[in-house]
Amino acid sequence: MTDEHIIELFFARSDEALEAVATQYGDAMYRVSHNILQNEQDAKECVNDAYLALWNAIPPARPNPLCAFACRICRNISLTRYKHDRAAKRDRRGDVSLEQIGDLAGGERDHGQAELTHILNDWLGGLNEINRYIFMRRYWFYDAVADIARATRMSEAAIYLRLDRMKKNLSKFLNKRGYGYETR
Amino acid sequence: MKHDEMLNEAFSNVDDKYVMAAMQPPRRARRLWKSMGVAAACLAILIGAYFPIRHFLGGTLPPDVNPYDPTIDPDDSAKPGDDPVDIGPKEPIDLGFGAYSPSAPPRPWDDALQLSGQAEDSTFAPGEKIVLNVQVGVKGHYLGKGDLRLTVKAPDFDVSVEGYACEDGVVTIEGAVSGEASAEQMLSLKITLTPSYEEAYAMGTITLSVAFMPNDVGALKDKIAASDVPEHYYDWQAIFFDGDALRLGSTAVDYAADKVELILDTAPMGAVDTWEIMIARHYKTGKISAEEFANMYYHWAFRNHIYASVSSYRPSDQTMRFSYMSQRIRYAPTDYVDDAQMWALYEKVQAFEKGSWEDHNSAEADAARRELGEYILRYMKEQGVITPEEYESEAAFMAVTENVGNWSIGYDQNIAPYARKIEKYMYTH
Repeated sequence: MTDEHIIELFFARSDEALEAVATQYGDAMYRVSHNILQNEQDAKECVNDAYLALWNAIPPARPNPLCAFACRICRNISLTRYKHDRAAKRDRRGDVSLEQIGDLAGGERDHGQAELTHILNDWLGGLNEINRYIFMRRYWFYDAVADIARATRMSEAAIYLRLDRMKKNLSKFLNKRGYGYETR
Repeated sequence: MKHDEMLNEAFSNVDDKYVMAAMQPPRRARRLWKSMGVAAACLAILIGAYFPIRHFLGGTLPPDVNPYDPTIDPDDSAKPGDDPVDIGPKEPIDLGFGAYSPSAPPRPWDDALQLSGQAEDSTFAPGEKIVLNVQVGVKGHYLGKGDLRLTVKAPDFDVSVEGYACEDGVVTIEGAVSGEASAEQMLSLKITLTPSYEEAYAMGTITLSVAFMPNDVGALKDKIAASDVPEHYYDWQAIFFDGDALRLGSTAVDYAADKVELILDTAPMGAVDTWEIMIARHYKTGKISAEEFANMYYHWAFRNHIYASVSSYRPSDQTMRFSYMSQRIRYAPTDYVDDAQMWALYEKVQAFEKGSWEDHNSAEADAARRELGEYILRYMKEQGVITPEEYESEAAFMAVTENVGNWSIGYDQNIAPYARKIEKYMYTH
C-alpha cells in the first residue's frame, strides 16, 4: 500500500490507515522507540501513542514520506518518555546514546531551533553516504553500535572512530557558524 | 532549553531525506542485504520445494560425476578432540539435530540421518572461499534412487558443490552411489561456500545435512544378498556426537568410546544404533518429549532406516525380531534396562568382544553370550515382552544367543511392528 493510499485512509478516517501504518512502519517505529527506552512495554506504549498522534495529525497533514513522519513522531514521544523517566530518576539505562549528541552542547548562545536544524541539514548533506548512515542510525535511530557495525560490515571500533570524528567535525562546523558548540 | 536538548530537538527535525536514507543501509551494505534477501528467498524456495523435489523430482546426477573417489583419505575426516566443524569465527555450525521440527507432524524424511563433514581450513580470511569436504559414510549400504540428499543451507553464502549446480541451496543427489553394494561406497563432495560480500561479516549459521533415506527395501535386500561385502567390516564410518553436535568420524573404533561412551566397533548397524541411542538419551535427559522421542524413534529406526546388514545371515523374521532386540541390549543394556545381573553378563560378553579375534571366537565367549542370551530371554518373558511360547521357540533362542555377540543381524520391515514393541519397552523402562 502506498503512502498516498494510507493517507487517503487517514483522511477517510478509516481504521485501516492505522493497520497499514502498523504493518508497514510499525517495526521501524518500535525499533526507534525501543532503542531509546530499552523497554519493550514502554516502547509498545510509545508506538501506540504515536499511532494516536498520527491519527490526530492526519488530516490536515499530508506527510511525505509517511515513514519518516511516523518514525519522527514515535521518536519524539519516546524521547519525551525517556526524559520523563530520567527526570523522575527512573532512568533504566546508562546508555550514552542520547548524551552523545548532547556532548556537542556547551555553547553560550541560544539559537533558533529551525536555524539549528538547517545547519544540521547542511552538515549532514556534506557527509558521505556511509558516514551519514552511521550518524543517523546512531543519533536519530539510536541504534547500538554493534548493529550499525553489522549493517555496514565494519568493526565496532571503526564505527566508534567514525562517530568520534564526525562529532568533532560537527563541533567545528557549528563553531564556524558561530554556534559555539564544542565536544566534551 | 538546554543546549543539548535543543540540539537534540533540532536533530529530530532534520530533513526527511536523511531519515529515509538511513532506513536502508548504504549502497555498499545494501548489497549485503540484497544478498541476504536473495538467500532468504532461496531458502524459502528451498523449504517449499524440498518436499515436492523429494517426491517427484529427486534431482539429477551429472553423468560425468563419479561419486566414489578412491583417492579420498579417510584421515580427512574429523578427529577426536577436534571441535565440531568450524568454518568461521562467529557462530558454531548447526550440524543437524535441530533440523527436526517437533512442531510439525513427523514425516519420513524429517528425521533422516544427517551427517556432515569438515572444513578444509578451520578459519578463513574475508572474501575467501570456504571449502567443506563432506564425506558421507554409506559404506556397506546400497543406496538406491533418491536415497541420499545433501542439503546445504547457508543463507549468507553462495553455495556451490563441485560438479553440481546448487541453485537454491539444495543439492539432491539421485542414485549417486547406486550400483553394487560395496563396503567402500563413499560419496565425497566438495562444497564451496563463497561469502557473498567482501568482509567476513555475520557469518550466520550453516547447516549441512545429509539425509540417508533408503526407500527401496526390496532392492536393498537383493543387493545385499548378492554382495560379497565382508561382514567383519570394522572400519565403519561411525557417527559420534559431541554434546549435541554430530559429526562424521572415521575409524571410530578407537576414539568413539572415549567420546561418547559407545563402542561402534563392529557393525554397520552401529551408525543407526548411535542415532537410536542418542535420541533415547535426549529423551532420558529431557531434551525431547516422550512424544517426540516416539515419533523420532519410529521414523528413524523403522521407516527411514529399514535396512539390512551386509551379511549372508538371513534369519527368519521371527529370529530377526529377537536378534534385533538382543542387539539393543548388547550395545548398552543399562541405558534401557535397569538390571544389574544383565549388566554384569553384558560386561562379561564385552570383555570377549573387545579381546582378540581368538578371544571373540573362543568357547568361553560363546558360553558367555549364551548365558546372557538366555538371561535376556527370561527377562523378557518375565517382563511380558514376549510370550511363553515365544520364549520356548527355537527362533528366539537362536536369535538371542547367536546375536548377543554377533553383529550380523538382518532386519526386515516385516518385523518392524514387533521390533517397535520391544524397542519401545526397552527404551522406556
